[in-house]
Amino acid sequence: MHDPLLVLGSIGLVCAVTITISVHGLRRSRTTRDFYVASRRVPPWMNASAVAGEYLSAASFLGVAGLIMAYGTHGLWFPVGYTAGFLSLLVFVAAPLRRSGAYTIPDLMSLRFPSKILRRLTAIIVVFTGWLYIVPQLHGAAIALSATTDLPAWLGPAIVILVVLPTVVSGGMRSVTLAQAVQYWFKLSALFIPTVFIVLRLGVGDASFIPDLANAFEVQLVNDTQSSTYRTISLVAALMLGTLGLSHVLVRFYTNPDGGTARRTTVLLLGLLAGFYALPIILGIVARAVLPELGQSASTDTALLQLPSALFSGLTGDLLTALVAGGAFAAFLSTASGLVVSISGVVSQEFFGGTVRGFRVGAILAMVLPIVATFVTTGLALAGAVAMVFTFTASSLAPVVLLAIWWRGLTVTGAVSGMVTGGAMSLAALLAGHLLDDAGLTMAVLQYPALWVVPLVLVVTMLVSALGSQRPPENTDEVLARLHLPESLKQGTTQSS
Amino acid sequence: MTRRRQPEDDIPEDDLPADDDFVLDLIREPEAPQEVPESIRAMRARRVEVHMPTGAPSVKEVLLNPAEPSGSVQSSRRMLRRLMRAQLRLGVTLISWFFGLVVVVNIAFHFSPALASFTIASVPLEWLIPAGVFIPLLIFLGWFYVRRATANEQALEPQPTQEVHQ
Repeated sequence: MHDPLLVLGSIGLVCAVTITISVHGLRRSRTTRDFYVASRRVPPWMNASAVAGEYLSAASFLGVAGLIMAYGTHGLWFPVGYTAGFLSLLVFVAAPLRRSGAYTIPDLMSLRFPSKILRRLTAIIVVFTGWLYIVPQLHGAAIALSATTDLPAWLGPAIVILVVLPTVVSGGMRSVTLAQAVQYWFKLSALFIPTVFIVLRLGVGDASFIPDLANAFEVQLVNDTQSSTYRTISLVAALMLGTLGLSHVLVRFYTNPDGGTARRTTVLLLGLLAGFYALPIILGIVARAVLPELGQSASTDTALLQLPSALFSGLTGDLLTALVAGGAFAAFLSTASGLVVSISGVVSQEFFGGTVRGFRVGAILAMVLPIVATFVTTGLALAGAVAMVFTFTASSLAPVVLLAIWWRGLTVTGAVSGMVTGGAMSLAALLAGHLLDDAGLTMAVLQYPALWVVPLVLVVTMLVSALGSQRPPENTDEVLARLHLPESLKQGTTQSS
Repeated sequence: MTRRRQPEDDIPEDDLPADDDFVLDLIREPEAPQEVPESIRAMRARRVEVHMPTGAPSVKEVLLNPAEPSGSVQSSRRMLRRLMRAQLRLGVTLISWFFGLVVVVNIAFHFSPALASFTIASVPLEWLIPAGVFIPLLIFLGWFYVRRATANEQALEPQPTQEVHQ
């Protein structure tokens, strides 16, 4: 074991910086107007860093390397899918969402349809998704702490809760673009510095020490190779569409000045994500060569935390481990706080008439329910758990959001039946897949249902809309014009140059 | 900027003497310092407490937002449909190409293990293609989409009701 003081010091520093920035942000961005004024000054690269800071969670920071350890090339498709999610966001949602002026998906839905039921259903799905998404963050905190120190695992989630809950309940961490942008660069350096050290060590170290890197690509290290082609394809589909339903990411697009900058932000974001994911991929491959025995065990998510001390002895190893642990906690904190803020915003708006009390109740619920779930589901790999969340949003929200933005024929009944079908089918399939103890194609089809559920939901939604007696709302064309026409056209002649 | 200064047009802003003339400074209109409202300090001084919106804006509020008049939009339903169709075709094409490529590559690796383990610089293709080809490809596709989508929107610009703009 390492010196726990170094790791704890690094985690403590991350927590202290997070609290400081959010309290500072609380004082600075107190009013809505500040938020709007700031929104016109935030350049796309800053916005892109903020989205990346919010998006890169436990699953990306620790989980990608862990899956590469456990499943080899199948794990390699996770970062591809996570990044590709933002291509579909760019292509289908970014500019229309910004032009709609909606903060969240329920807002977008109620702009399109004057239906209370649809709005409430969307809100429930968004809140449920957020809860599911917090679970892996807490779980990751437990793993990170117990792998690097002798402390009990429950302390990790406890730290995350103790930092996130008070700051969110007191009103901080609200749309603090700078704080999230800093988090991205911190997470990047927390992996970049160890990668540089490790690559240099492998490149110029004494020959007897260098492990055979060719081993890293051996299939023997892989836990399970059956039916991996279907799994990979369905996984990429789920990750590509699931991003469209992540409320904590979509909120960020509001700080773009207009649709055009929302697009530029997303392209920059693709670059930032690609740059980040290169690091866990490199480290995961190195870990396969250096720690082959870990690949067979159940705890591959700790690969990144064990790698530095496997290659460096003494203080260097301890310092690098502390850096990785600190970066991991930055990932848990930023994603968890973003999720709690967006969940409690929706809970307050939907069920408490938008009051501050509702916001606080929402925040507490947003942390308490996932804690319970964390203790129930301890065995899941981090990135695997997040992939399940993506599958759920890809099936329930994404098809309806896509049709709402791009198809004028969508009706309320169509949207509701699509959401219900997608949500119910994907949940049932995921549950059945994990209860079933059979490693064949059936299990893969049930555990990765996106490939068949998403087309099904599209067909159901379109059929119900087209064949049902209900008509699309009268103002559909006006709303769609608002979503799709560029700002320069809408402002017409007021623009002067 | 120009709009904000209009109410105080009677004060010739360019003719103001430099700050070194202390006596004149006392006599001058007290509004003079506010002539430069763009400074952060001036904006802070005028700050008004505003509360977060408690609910989503209604459809009416959004559509009638005076900042973005939709008058010119009403007449151009055909234009809107054309734009939406072009953008949707572009998006669906890009996404299906990308996803199709993912499917083809995976199936090829599945049926031809020799291809999957073919190495370039001692890295098997199975590893090289997802990490080294697909992720950079995403950045390229994103860049390409923004170029094309912006061009689609700009193609609408010289349409009717834009004569002043031209």
